[in-house]
Amino acid sequence: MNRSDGSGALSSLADERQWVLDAVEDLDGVVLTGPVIFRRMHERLTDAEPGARPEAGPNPGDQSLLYPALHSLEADGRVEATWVSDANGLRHRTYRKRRLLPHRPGRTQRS
Amino acid sequence: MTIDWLPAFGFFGGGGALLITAVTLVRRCERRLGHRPDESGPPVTPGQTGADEISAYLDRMTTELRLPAADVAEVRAELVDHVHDSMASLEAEGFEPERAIREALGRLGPPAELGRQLRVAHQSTRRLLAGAGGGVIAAGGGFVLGYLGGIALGLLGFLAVFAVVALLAAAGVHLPNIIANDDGTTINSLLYATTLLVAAAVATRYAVRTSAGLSRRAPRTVAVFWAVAGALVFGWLAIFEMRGPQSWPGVALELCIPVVAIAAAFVRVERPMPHVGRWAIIVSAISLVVLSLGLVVSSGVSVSGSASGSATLPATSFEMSDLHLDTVAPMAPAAWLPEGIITGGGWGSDSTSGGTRVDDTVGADPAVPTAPSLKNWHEVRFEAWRALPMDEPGPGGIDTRYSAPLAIQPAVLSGNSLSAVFHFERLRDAGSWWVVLTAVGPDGHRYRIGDGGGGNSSFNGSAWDWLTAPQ
Repeated sequence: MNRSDGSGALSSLADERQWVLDAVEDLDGVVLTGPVIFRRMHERLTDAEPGARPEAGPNPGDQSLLYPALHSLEADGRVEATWVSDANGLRHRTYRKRRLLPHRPGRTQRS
Repeated sequence: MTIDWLPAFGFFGGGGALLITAVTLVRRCERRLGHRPDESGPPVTPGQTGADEISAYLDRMTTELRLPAADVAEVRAELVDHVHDSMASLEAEGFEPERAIREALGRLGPPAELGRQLRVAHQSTRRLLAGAGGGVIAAGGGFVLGYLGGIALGLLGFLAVFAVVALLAAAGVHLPNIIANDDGTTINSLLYATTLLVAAAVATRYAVRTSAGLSRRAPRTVAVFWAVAGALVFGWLAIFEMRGPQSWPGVALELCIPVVAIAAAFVRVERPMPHVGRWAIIVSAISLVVLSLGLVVSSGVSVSGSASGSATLPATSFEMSDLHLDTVAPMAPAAWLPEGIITGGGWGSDSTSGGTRVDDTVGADPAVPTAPSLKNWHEVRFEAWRALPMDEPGPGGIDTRYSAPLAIQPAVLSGNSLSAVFHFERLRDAGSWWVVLTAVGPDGHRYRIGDGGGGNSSFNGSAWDWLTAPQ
């Protein structure tokens, strides 16, 4: 069973979008791959004060809404995606929050 | 001739900017619609651990994705990268490789649902609006490009037909002259219709491909909208708005333009557009400037040369009876003619309606009021009769094969001149005409009270004007 099933799919996607935005919010020019963003979402909720934690957070065993959320945010112009190559020459799709002013050259965080 | 430079710069600059923007947009969208698979991230390597399972998952997901090729390739590559990353993490946690694959894929959810969600995410309202706007710009630029291409195609076709006819004539084959005595109207209307037809086709195809690329939809999905829009807009333009010389072949081509726009939106629309290189754009832009300036110059020359004429009789030696003016009506008895007899007149283009304005000056002496000089006459009118061809040898004059005038207009008195406006340009085959001033005399019979003058006119209007024009 994943979060996209059932009548709560829309609200789940909206929550996922917000968690993704929170995860990429305070990065200074660093671009993140999808798996890193998901881990960061989970860590932020785990590290938050108990009173500040939302009732439901991302389930580490369910990544079904991660890419729909990332791609819809990109389509809405909230985040921007770029393909970057690592030291081994492998290309990875990375994301960062879109800003009005240009970023400094970014660093990639994969793990 | 004077050139208004500001509108000229606006026209050429605007057309050029539209062309360059459209070609840039189309190129960008073509890259998205016709993506090569080696341009994204890591593919699934055969033989790699779990390659079959990953490929099967991605294939099921792709069936629901229905996005342009570039987006499909990017999504697949990103998910492969994600699955490999997840597998590495899971194996570090102690999972067996086979179980790690199943777990990594299971965490992404059912493939069909993931594909559907990703499609919805990509096809946002924002991108739909961008696709609509980009489609309009691409259509504008495509129209300019197609117009230039249509002119080139029409001229090439004309030269090809001309060469074939010349060769056949040299070989002794006699061909009927189907364009005799039409002042090039048939050829001009065919060139005009071909140009518009090519422009409509290119504009619609540009709009579909650009709109599909920007809105992340399959070209066939957005083609319905652009087919309807193209048929309506270009059909309206071709049938009602674009004015010029017309002939049956040209009008038939113009009536095909809505069908051509629909065909351009659907036929083989998934195939990539031909690549338009930098030099093609530069040559097109230069051609636009040269052709437009040529048209402006030639239209200025032709207007000044043909838009007016004199009512005086041909200068060649002839007898008055050669003009056959008595076919119209007998000349009025001298005693009844207005005081200060008709002194002459002329014809020219009517600036208000675009028709032909005919004037006869009555009364040479300004001291003698014109109205009393016409006291013996009523139902004063201008009659336009078909005339013998003006551009052939001979005195011209009334064509006696006709027993009725081509058109009649009441004469309107203004100052010391009588005038009327004829719309020969709205008659399909007006050709040569002769206009005579007639009136009913004191005995109740109609007489000619001037010898008038003649000229040539050809049809000028829209395809609809042509279809509804009187013979």
